[in-house]
Amino acid sequence: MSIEIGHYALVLALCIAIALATLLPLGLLGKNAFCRHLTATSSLARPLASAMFILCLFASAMLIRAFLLSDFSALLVWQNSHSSKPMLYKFAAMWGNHEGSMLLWVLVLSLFAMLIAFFTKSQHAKQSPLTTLTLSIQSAICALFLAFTLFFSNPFARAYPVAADGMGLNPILQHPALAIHPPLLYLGYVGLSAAFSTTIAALILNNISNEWARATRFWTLLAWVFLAAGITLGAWWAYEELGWGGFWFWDPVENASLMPWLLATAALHALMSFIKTARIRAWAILLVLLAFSASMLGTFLVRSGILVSVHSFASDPLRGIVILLCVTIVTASALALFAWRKNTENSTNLKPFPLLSREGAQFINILLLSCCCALVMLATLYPLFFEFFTKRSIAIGPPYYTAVLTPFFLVIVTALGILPALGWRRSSRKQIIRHASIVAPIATGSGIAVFLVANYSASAAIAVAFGIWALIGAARTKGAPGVACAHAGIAILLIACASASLNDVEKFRTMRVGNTITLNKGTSSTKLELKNIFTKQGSNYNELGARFQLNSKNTLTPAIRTYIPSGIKTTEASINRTILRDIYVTIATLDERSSDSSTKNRDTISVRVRKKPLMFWVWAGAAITIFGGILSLIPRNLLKRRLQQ
Amino acid sequence: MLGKINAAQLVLVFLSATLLFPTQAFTQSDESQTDTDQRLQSLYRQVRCPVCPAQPISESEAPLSQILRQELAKKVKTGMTNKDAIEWLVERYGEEILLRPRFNSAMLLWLAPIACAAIAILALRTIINQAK
Amino acid sequence: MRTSFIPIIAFVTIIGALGYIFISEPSNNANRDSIKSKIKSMPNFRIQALVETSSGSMGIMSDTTIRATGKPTVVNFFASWCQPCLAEHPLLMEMALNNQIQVFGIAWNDNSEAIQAWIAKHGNPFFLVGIDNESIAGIEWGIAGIPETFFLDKKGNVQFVHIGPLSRETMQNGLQAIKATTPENP
Repeated sequence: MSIEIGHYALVLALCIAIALATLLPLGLLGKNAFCRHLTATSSLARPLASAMFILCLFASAMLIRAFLLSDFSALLVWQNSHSSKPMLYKFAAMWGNHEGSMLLWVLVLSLFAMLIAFFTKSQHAKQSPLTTLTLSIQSAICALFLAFTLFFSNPFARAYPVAADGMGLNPILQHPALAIHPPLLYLGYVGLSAAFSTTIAALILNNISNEWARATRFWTLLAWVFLAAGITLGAWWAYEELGWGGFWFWDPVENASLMPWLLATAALHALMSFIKTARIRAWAILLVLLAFSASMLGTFLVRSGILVSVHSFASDPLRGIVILLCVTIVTASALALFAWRKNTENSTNLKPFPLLSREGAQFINILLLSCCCALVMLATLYPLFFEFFTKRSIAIGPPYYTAVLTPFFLVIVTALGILPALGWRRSSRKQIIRHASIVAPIATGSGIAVFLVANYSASAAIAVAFGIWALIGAARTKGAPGVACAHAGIAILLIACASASLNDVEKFRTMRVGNTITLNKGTSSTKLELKNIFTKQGSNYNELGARFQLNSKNTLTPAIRTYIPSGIKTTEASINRTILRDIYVTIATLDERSSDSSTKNRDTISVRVRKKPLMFWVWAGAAITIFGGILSLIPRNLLKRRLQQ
Repeated sequence: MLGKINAAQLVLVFLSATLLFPTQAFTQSDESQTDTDQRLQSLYRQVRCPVCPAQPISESEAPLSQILRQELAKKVKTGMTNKDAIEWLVERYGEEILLRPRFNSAMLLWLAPIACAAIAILALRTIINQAK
Repeated sequence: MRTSFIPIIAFVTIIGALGYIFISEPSNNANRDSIKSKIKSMPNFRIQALVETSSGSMGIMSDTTIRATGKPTVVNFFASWCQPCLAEHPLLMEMALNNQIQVFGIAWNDNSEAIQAWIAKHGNPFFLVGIDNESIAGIEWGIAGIPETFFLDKKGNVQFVHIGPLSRETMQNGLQAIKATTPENP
């Protein structure tokens, strides 16, 4: 019964969405008193928007309840859950599949609709037509996705006859990071819709003003923070759980979440220097529109089955076509509107700015980030086109991406580093030279030091040199502390990613109990001794593990698990973390012959040991960047007051 | 917000920290981590595991990955260059085993960054020039 | 300004292309799983072989051995622990009766006793069974997984490769490619 109630709630939400989408524009067009009451913040719109969100929340709650109670008469629960699953993962299983995650999409869309209705600050903004039209467009998008969910991806279908137990969930997906990863990601991904709606509204009203810029910046920043957090969590899960030793694989689904983030970053920078130049104005608008479009396109790529990835959902061609149509309608209208308004705009207010200025640096940043996004999209889609036209397959992996994106990123980081010496609209040459003459030698010095010490690794040297250049530049950036913080985070991330991926050291050995493996000699050597090999029985798996002693201090226990109902094998890596490096140990079995390797008595084991320098700083850098974003969300005067106390 | 004094302190802290960390992290390698091993590592990163969706053999645990790693290690240790090793692989598995597409089969992929950079520079110049 | 139309034109083009590809080939995943071997001619290799499966006497299998038959050949990589290999076994037995070709088997990543037992249990379609424990031959042949079957013509050129268990259709395609079709298997 509860499933059906959830279903009806969703239908009701759809009706409200349609109502909001159609009634609110009346408030702008109509002349009589009633129409004038139809504003976004009116006593009509606010309750309606809240009701829409609450209904979606209720529907989600009903679905979650079905999962928690293991109600296998619900088709989704049967397909994605199992009675023996721990509670947290039953909860998270709600969004671990296509239909449930569409419900999550819709939930976040309606959440932002409600926020739009309530979160308008100034009195002027409350009565302005911009907010009203924004809410209307957000509701329209809600309606579109609600309709898609209800008609093509209904999470509330029933399964008949009722099975005794469910088909379970992939054990790899049972990890805390992955449980929170989708909601965070969606808050970012889907949250970009608010900025999108605001921009469409402003374009329709043909009124690109500071009010628009402030509102859009806020929504974009909010979504950006969540998106960054979601992406980081996903990478962390991949590192911890998959046992592959990496954290980013340039997989199509990963790229689908990275592209909106790149565009959102560019949009944020464009919005910050919005007031200064009309040209950056156009880019700001375009980037905000493209960011959400990238989210929607990403949804299509992931759910239609057109791209193969370890992350893809089960696909259905009809569903894919419908998603494609939705994406096309929304994005094409947005871009057409953009073209029309841009064309008929009279471009006055063209305040000039030289290249060596904050606007100049921002503009370079915007261009380069857009280039990076375009290249990622090209590389993600290329295999599709290639296989279609030549009938041969092609794989584009990390070597391509790093080779191609690094030059762009290095230029961005150079601009980042020189930022403190640049002024708005002009900069003093003297300041630039002074800054550069202090920082450049420091950066080069560190680079050379690393080059000599790290076995003449050019990549390490370059990464460190540019990273320190950017880091010092970020630390010296005056003005918004959030900006300095975020830039510092990115600089640290650069150094850490480069060293962890390109300078890791690896050894592969077959070992017996008592053998040791040494990765480095000298002061910080890493010595692993195999203490024993064991088998263990877990709640729903058999495990073959090995116990190692690291440098006679810590214990590492990598394992291979074979899950009982499904036979799925997972590699459980064991990681020893310090600020300087991670030691990552996995077991590899060559034996495909034994279907259940756990029951065999083994006296040798094949082991891979990896040392990844500065891996900790990948996570720290990401966290610092996200924190910088959060800092930027806090209104300036509030921060000033707090800091002065 | 960050007053002059605070910024200077921050710089000093970062300076000392960042100068120390990278150098400590990249420590001396032992004798067996020679040029050959590094070459091998970079070779592994370019080869796709033939039975996994898009993983390099440097990261995959599939039996075939391990076999390929051992074979490549044997070849590299007897002096084969990376280029020849890749040729040898391509002869047997086709170009799809490479994670870094070759120029001839994927010209667009390698020309695209140059095109992007060119367009970016053009856009930059038009904005700056028009603004003057 | 005409540059404002660039985004929408670019978008429509990309989406149009994507849509076209998607509609014409909704599930393209077949060729994603394993990379098929691309060798054009038989590689040099030399492994031990089971000459007589009942007695277990060993010999050598090499490219010379295969070429020496003077006929088109079918080389099938299999193992006793491989389920799909069992599924295609009847087709291999059929091909063994075809006197226009010679069927060779190479047991990959397996051990002799298990192979002997498997053959004794299910039947031997192979003229010679190579034992490739260390994947020496497998690597040279470009194996990505088993079963993988190679159809070679008289000169030793690889005309057809199939990865995965053979079906009647793929077997016929292979035989056609090496011009070894029979009235039963046209």
